[in-house]
Amino acid sequence: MKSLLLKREQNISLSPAEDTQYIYLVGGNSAEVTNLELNFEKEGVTCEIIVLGKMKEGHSVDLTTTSRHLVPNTSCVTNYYVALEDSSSSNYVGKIIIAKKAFQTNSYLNNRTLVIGEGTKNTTRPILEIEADDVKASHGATTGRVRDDDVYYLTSRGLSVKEAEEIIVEGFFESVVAKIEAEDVREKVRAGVKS
Amino acid sequence: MKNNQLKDIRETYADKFGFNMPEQPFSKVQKGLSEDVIRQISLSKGEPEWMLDFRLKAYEAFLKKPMPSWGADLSHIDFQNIYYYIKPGDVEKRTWDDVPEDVKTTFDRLGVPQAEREYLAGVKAQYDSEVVYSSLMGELEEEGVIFLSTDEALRKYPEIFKEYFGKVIPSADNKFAALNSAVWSGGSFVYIPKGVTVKRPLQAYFRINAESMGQFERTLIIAEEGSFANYVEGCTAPVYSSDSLHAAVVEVIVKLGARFRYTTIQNWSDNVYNLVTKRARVEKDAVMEWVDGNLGSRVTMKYPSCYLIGEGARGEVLSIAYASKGQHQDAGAKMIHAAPNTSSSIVSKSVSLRGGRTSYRGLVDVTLAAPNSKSRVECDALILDSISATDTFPTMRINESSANVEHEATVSKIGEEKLFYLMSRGLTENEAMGLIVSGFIEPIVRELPMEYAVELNRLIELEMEGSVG
Repeated sequence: MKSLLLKREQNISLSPAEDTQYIYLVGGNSAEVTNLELNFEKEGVTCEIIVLGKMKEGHSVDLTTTSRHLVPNTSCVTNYYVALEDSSSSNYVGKIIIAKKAFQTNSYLNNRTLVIGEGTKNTTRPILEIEADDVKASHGATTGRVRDDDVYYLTSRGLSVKEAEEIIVEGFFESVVAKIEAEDVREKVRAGVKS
Repeated sequence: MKNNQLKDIRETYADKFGFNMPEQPFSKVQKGLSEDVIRQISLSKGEPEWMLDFRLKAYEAFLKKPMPSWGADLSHIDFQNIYYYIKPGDVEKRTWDDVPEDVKTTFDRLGVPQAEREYLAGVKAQYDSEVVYSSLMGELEEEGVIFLSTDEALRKYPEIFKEYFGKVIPSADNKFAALNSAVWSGGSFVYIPKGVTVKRPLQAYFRINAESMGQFERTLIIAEEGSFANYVEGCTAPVYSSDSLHAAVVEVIVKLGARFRYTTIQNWSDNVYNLVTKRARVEKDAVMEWVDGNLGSRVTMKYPSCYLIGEGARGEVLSIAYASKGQHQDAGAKMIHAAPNTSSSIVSKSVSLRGGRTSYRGLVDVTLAAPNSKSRVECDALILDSISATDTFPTMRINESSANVEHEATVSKIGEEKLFYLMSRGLTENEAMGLIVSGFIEPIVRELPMEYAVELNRLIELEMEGSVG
């Protein structure tokens, strides 16, 4: 599968012609809504959307992903991984739309929000609109803090609390970064979520 | 299965329950809505001045509020083509012998067995807008439990009534709550005193009889500290020719350490718009559970909610939606976390077939006042054919950094391999599908009182007849 790191743009609308991983890094402060949309118009295509990033103090992200399945036999996995530092916020809408004739569609959306700081705000709206019957569609969304147990374990091994948290955040992103197939893109993204 | 069962459930209903007893309107307010109609309703009930004011203010709010721009299609509702109040010639009766014969026939056809009537704690029956029959068991009265029609409660317990009425759901909350506040009639009033455990479910049977008769019942429930009760309402409605509107308001107050469960099985005929506002205020360490089954109606929009305002409060919603031909079930739940250590859980199961549409619409709101809150949402949808549809619209708004919120949703059809397995054991395709659907909703059905669970399973079985071809 091809890996493609998307440039920062406000409206991205794509019709994938071959199996592709689309990766989008978030971060910094943006007041605008980003729309990232995949329209499946070619049969047999399998894609992944990976949106990830660490929101630093006071920063916010407002993003919508849409995987719109218009023809039969397409697949999509959407991952939205965001870590929230002090007073940062995330507003995410993740849509899966399956049109009437798009049978044999397989679409999954996974949203993980890791809260590191205080005073964070997080709104998630995973939406399913399904008009066909022979499909598999699902989503999962979780929001949670870094677990005290995990931090305690690492500090008992000699790490400071800050170091422990950093490792946990790294591991959090790694579960999705590791899925990126092209090595150069993977390394770039790994560096991107660390900074 | 017999051949004569190979019918749409609505036809089955017409045979079994579909009948219209001749109406005997005592005072049938004219069709349509106006200030005069509201004054007339209030006057005929002999209400205090403050209630009339409440109604009139609500009417003003109703006129100002726009129709909801989201959700199901409500464009066919004609507010001027509805009777807002019908009082049958019968007044409230205390014993079964006094109940008029045609009302009894209605109950016979509803399938409420005599033995059950006597056994059940208090069978309240809503025939048209007024409760015509109510029996309170002695033991409930002894413990101080009040279980009355809302109108009666206003007359008998004006103080408690005024203290709580309209406090959880303000009259201007939304267009349909405002409509209900303006023209409400009937419904149940339940008061459970401190520390009292009501062992048997409090039951209410509802029924709409007059054509185009909107039902605007108003239910108010107060569960005092440390009390426990389960309230059950079930509905069946006969077949009509024109659209009917049902806009109920249910307010529940669950106080310190109390636990209250509100169970609804809704099976309106498929021309009814069922637009209900249900909300509970849950105080410290209290638990509120909504068990909500939506099977009938043309359109349902109903999102039972819990406002968790006390530390350690818990809210639960279990919801089943079943949408067949021409139906749209837009149901869900709302959980507002407004105190520390609160928890909530929502489980929703929906089935769509024959062109029906189910939508889950929900909100989990963790406010700044709610550190260490937890919430879990699970919604599963089953689509049985290619002409049906399903949506999921959840919102999670988390403004507190220590919250733990999980959400999961799946959409699928019945697996071929499951059908194949069951059919290889000698079941027909219909029976196999019926069994799988029953299994799918079982986690919620097992929470229902037995007679409802049996009825529900039978309905599913009937619905599945002829659903594959």
